[in-house]
Amino acid sequence: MLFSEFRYLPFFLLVFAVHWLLRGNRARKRWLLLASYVFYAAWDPRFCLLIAASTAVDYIAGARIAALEGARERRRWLVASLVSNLGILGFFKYWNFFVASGGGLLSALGLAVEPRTLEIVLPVGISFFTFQSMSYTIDIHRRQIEPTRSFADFALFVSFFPQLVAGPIVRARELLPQLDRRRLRSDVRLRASLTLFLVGFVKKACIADHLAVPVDAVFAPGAGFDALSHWLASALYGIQIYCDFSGYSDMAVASAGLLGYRLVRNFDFPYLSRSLREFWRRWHISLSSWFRDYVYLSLGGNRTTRARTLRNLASVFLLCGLWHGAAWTFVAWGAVHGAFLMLERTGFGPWLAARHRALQTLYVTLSVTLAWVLFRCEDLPHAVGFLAAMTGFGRAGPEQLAPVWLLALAAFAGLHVANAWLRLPRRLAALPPVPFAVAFGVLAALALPWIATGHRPFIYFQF
Amino acid sequence: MRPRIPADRFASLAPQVSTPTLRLLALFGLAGLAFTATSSWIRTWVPLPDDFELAARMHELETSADPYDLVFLGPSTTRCAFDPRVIDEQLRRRGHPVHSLNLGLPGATSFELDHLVERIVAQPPPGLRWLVIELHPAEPSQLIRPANLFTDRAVYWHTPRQLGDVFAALLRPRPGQGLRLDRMALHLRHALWRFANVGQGDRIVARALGRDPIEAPDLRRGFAPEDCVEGPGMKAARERYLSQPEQVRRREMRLDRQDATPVPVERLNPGKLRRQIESLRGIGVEPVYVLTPILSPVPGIHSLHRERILPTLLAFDSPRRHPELYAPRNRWDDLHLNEMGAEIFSRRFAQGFAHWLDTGLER
Repeated sequence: MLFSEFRYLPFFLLVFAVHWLLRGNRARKRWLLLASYVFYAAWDPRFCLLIAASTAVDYIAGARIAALEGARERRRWLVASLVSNLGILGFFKYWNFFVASGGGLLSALGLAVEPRTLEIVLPVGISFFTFQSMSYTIDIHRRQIEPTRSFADFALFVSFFPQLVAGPIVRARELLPQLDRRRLRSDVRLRASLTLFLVGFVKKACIADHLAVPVDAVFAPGAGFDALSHWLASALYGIQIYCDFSGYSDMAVASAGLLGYRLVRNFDFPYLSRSLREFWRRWHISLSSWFRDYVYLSLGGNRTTRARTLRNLASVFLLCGLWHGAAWTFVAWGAVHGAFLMLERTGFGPWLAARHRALQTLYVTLSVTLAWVLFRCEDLPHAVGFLAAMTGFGRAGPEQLAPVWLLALAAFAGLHVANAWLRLPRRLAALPPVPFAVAFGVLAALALPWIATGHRPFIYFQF
Repeated sequence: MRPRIPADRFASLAPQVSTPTLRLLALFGLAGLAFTATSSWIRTWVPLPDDFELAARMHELETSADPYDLVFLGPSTTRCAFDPRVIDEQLRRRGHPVHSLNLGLPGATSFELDHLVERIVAQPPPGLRWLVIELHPAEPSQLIRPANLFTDRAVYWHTPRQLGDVFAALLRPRPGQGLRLDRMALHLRHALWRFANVGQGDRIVARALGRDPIEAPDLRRGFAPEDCVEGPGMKAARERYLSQPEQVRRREMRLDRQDATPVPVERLNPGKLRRQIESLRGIGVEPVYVLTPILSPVPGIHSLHRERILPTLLAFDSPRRHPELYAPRNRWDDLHLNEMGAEIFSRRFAQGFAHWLDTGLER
């Protein structure tokens, strides 16, 4: 079930109505747990068992880690939790990738082997709920949080439907305390949540899905577009993926907000960043902070030698790339981002910081746009061919994207800058109730005609 | 004695209806009103679907400098059977000069046609005197083909009134069929899409910018026999028709017997027809119902006519009375005539229509 699908509306209205009609906190939480599993089952009911199993393992591991005093025992249970989560992730998401890559490597070495790949369905949102679940046991191991005594609360934390399939990746210390207290109407920022949902919906259904048309055309293997169209499609893809993913996150945060829960903000105008370092503080914030807290800092962060800091950065971004997908294109995408971040740790960083804002934004836009090519292409040869066509070295064709897409790009850039400056959604949400209700109704009616018809799932569902 | 359930057992399920809740509901209602008003205003800008030059033909009907006084409305069997040039010529010879237009729309059901009638009633075309409406066996479960789901053509006729009629048809008991809630949900979604103008932004802007010029229909004024012979589906239908002469014969015999088996009119939603007739007469247009020479009976129509619910019925659904229209050389398949058959049909129709104009009686 997608937030932008029609069936989400009756589903959410039912969940919302029953949630607020129930008086007891426990009853509400059981209801949300049931709704979350129904939400996931709408995609494939079999994988509810997978979430339940992951939940059970981490609940027990968390309780054991907290109960034990010995460092070795505590570590043993943490390892059990990590192995369980990474095992699920590795099997469902990476098995075929590693087997095929290993087979390819052996073949290159002259050892003929036939890789045995499996017909595995990738459970939707697996990368999100396993990372969320792992953060719980790691935080308990670090004595940053206490384990919850309620299995149902923990199950709800793992499966909470607004953020279940595409984030944001919520930490236990952020959501579990909210579950302890009965949500009050004063916890609901109704106007802000409705506005955020509308904004997210427009980003996803009205912008991202429309942009998929030219992007898919140019990125199709064998498409014969000219160099300018390749550049334009790359930039449009940057907008598409931003609107798609941040739109989903907005709707997730808004859905949770209407139920009285606060989720972390996942995007903060990333394309207005002044450096790649800043970009990653504004793009998919919940994931980058997860990698920072649980991988980068665990490796020593930047409180070590310069060489090790660079190594840590490279490791984190290779893993970050791999997290996004089981393909070398994603690894390469992570590597490129890692390389730029390493570059910024050298003299380039201070040099860039002293330059004009426009140059900084141009640098970020260019580097991110080029990296998106790796992210979007089918495989590395396709990406290399695409980049070559962009730079005039490769084989570009005679076709051209319609100039209207250039206008769309300019319009988006203008809107993005204007919105960062004026914060229009915040202004809308700040209206008094009656003008807000009228404005919301009018804006929703103006937005819906711009929905791109045709089913397009969220890009980040594949992760 | 049964144990008593404690009074507070279900307390947590009791709704907390309070002043803030009512205020909230009022605000949602206000937002809904604003949404409805804006959507309704936007809908006035949504053009008709482009399928089969529908938008162009309706535009022609509504704005032509040479007004049309006779219009044919129906599905593909209308589109491919009524040749306005032949009909105008025949009627002129019989002392009834008319200017006619074919509004036949392949695949149209009675619900879609009813919506077009609603549109004609809402914006009466200047000079229109007679609306010839073909009656066709519409099966509610086949209203939208899977390939056409949520297309402009599938969405545009889902007005609240048509939705109500579809629900009524789906709720009418039929042997071997359940409530068909899935169908009702599907039509409800189509109605909501129409209500919210989903996906119509491009078309509205194109129209507002004048980038969607409505071409005048061709010289044949909406008559397009090629629509009924092109495409793999039509070719397969022709092969079926030609390869099963015995079955065709049996169906023809069944058609001739249909008058002998009256159908209770309550089953046929006569209220909908009455409403249609009254609304057309209200704008000074006389409805004329017609049965074209198809091989599938339209159950109960003759009963409706006998009970005077249908004021005028020109029926061509009898192979015995119209053998030429059922001769394979004049047909494409079991539903459609070929171009030669269309010419014969148009002459016959013009004769029957002129007779009715002269005498007030159907032949």
